Amino acid sequence: MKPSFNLHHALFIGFCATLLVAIKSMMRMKLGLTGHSMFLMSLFYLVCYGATNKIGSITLCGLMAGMLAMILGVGKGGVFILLKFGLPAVAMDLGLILLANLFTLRWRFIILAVIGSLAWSSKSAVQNILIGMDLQVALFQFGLSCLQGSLFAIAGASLVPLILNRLDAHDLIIRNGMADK
Amino acid sequence: MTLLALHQVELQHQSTSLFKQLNLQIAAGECHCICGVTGSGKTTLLQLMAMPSQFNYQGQIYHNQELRLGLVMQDPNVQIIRETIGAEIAFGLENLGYPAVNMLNLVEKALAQVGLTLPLDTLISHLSLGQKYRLMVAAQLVFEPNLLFIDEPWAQLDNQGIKELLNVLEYLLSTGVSVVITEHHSAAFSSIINFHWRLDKGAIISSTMPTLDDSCDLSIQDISRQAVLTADDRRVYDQQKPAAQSVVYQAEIDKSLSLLTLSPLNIQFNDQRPVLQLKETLALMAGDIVGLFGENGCGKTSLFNQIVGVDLANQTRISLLGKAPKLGLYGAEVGFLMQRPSRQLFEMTVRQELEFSLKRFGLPLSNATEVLTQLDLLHLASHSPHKMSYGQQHLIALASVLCIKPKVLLLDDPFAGLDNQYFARVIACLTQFALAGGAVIFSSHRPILLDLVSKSWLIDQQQLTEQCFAAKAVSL
Amino acid sequence: MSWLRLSHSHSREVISPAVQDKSLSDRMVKSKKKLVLCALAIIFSIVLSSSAFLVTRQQLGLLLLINLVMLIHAWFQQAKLAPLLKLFAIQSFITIGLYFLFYGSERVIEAVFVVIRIILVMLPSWWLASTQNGHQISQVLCLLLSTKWAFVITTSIKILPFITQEARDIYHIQCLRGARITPKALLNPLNWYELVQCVLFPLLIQLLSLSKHIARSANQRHFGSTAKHTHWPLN
Repeated sequence: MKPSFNLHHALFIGFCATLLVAIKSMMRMKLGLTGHSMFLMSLFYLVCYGATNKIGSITLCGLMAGMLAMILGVGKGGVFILLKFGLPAVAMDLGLILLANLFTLRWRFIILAVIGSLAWSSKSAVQNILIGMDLQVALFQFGLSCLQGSLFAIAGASLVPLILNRLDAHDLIIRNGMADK
Repeated sequence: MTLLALHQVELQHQSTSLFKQLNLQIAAGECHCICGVTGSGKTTLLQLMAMPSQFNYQGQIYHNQELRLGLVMQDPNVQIIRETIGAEIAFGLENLGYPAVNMLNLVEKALAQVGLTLPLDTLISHLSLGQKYRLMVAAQLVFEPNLLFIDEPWAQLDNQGIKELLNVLEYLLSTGVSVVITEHHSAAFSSIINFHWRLDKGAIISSTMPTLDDSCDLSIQDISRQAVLTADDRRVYDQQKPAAQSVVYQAEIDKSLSLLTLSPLNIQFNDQRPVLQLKETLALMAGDIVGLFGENGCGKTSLFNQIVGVDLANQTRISLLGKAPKLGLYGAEVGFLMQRPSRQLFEMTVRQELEFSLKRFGLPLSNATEVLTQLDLLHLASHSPHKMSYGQQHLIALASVLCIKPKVLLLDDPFAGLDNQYFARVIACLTQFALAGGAVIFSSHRPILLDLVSKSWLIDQQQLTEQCFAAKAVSL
Repeated sequence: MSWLRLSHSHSREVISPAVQDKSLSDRMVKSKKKLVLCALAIIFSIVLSSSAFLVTRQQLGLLLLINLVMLIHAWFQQAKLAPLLKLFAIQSFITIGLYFLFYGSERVIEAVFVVIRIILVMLPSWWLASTQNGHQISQVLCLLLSTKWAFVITTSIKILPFITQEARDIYHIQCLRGARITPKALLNPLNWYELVQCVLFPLLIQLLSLSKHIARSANQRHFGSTAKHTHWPLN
């Protein structure tokens, strides 16, 4: 596996991040459901990993999404949105390293989605504890957002194998006759 | 001086040989044209010659030490990287580390060479397609290439755009720059071509004098003559066609019935700038084949979008099948093929792609087999549509619209980028569709198939009018 | 010596080379100043947001005052207050509601202070998004990135209108093909998968294809061929 991403993969990661931020911005206006962002994050993060087959692609997608959200003023903007997108991504990449080739691809994606959801919920929980929220209240909110987030994340992850099949059928993941530059 | 040479080059693609023992030499100041059917590998050949290190090929590709290459691909929209014309041209200079103060002169010079005398911070989104194409040429000229590759410009550009490009290429050739063009329709560039080649079954064959038998260079009139039924043929067709073999409609359609009526209307951009104006009432009758012609950016797609209800402006001035347009209102009665129709393909096989609509509209799945047979695509039914050539994907998208047997068929630039074999199949299909009582509107940025159409709707200087062209077609 | 053409209110103006150099350097200096101000604004918002975690209850008043000034500044810059008010309402409802549920009315005041801190964490971010130009934020962020990833960010922003239009076109095409994705059909959750299947799948295919084309175009124009990368002065 080559150590760095070629420009094609880098751009695809960036475009996935853009689509993630754009759809999140639209869904926020229509759904207002806590946890729906985990559906999109697990979907796009895992598609990036599936298309590039490189560890680190999820983290890069998360960081790109955070930066784009900052630049485009999605959500409340600011630097903390980098954490919102980046933390689940980093957690999922760490999970990838730990999982290696254990389990089938589908189950690996589902476990990674749950890991990402846990990280996403933890960010809010840590923030709440740091601002002095009562531990019981903070844990309750953590548990609730974990549950909702995980359900959405698993839903997103279960679509990823189907998407990768389509991309493979389109010959966009496997390139014939071209050196991998 | 030989700038570039290929010697016994071979390339594999999806476990088949795309190129077999290719040999080619390009010397300074020459203009070469390489023809070939869709899927023959013209674009891949250009990319291979330009960037051989990105391919696993056999044989030798020789680049002269003094070679400076430029490559302009088919669709400018997927090559544009920046927002303003100055920044776009300077992109290459940025990558080579040119000092900022040196960039301005070079960018200005490149723009002057292609005749784009616009302010440097002009937004690219405001340019016509022809201007964008010349911008892409300028983005290559800033490197002062001595060999320029151009991929299929004819399909992208209207006649004005082709004229502008020809001027640029003539100027470049006069300064000693070599040009290689890949093209279906090489006649448009015959005034500058020195060497004419054909890419056929993986080999390059010299073809200095294109003939009518040459599959690359059949004029569009000839294709339409071959494909269109004569009046006698139509009578015989009507008398003899067995019901099982024809496209049968549930109800007899009254050919004097107007399926679409356009009352006087105006189409505008979001910022209220006018696009086109219709001052008379136009009608589409059963059995009509209408050509909607106009240059790029004149509003053809906007008109189609309003007719089918994608855009609800002018809703009260349009009557389609007796109703004001609304998205999804017409079900299987209206078929609409948008530009770049291959982007709608998502199923795993061709048959599934057609059956998607049939299932949603509750129509017999046997329609898929019928239409695939009609378009000579039945052998591809279980294949993935994504691994097919551009022309085949185009036909599959058309098949997915035809199989629902609509009353009205709207086709936005359906012939773009199609070579002659697919052209003929589409024409035959549309002819049969109209003979069976359907009505078709197809758009193009140049008047084509004038033997085929029952009437033409022409957009010229923002005015949409109904026109009857003379029997002798205007091709360029 | 060539003449620089700059557009002013859609009209062309030809300027002499001496004026050209001065105009260019003025623009570059002005641009650099804006960049520095934007970078300072980003750092300021981070410091202020972090302070909401760290300050004591007594110092909260001062922090509140600073944030109030930022709020007024953003309001004068035509910022929308609605997102902030919505956040305040939701957080108040959830947090105070939970405190009330667990502890009754005893610790409601504590809950109010928690809500205030939450707002003070988010407000500087909202102020940054409302007062700073997205283009300048992207330029600051790109300074922290390598050439490749800075290019990815700027290209991604640039193609956002294209992505939106493609999504719209594909949606319309599939609606016309009978897909059950009209707004009415999507009220049924069983049809959500159809939306993913016939809009998201082809959209991702288009994106992957587009990324291939743009990468090829950029590589062909020597992207990444040298370590030194300069910038078009009229950005």
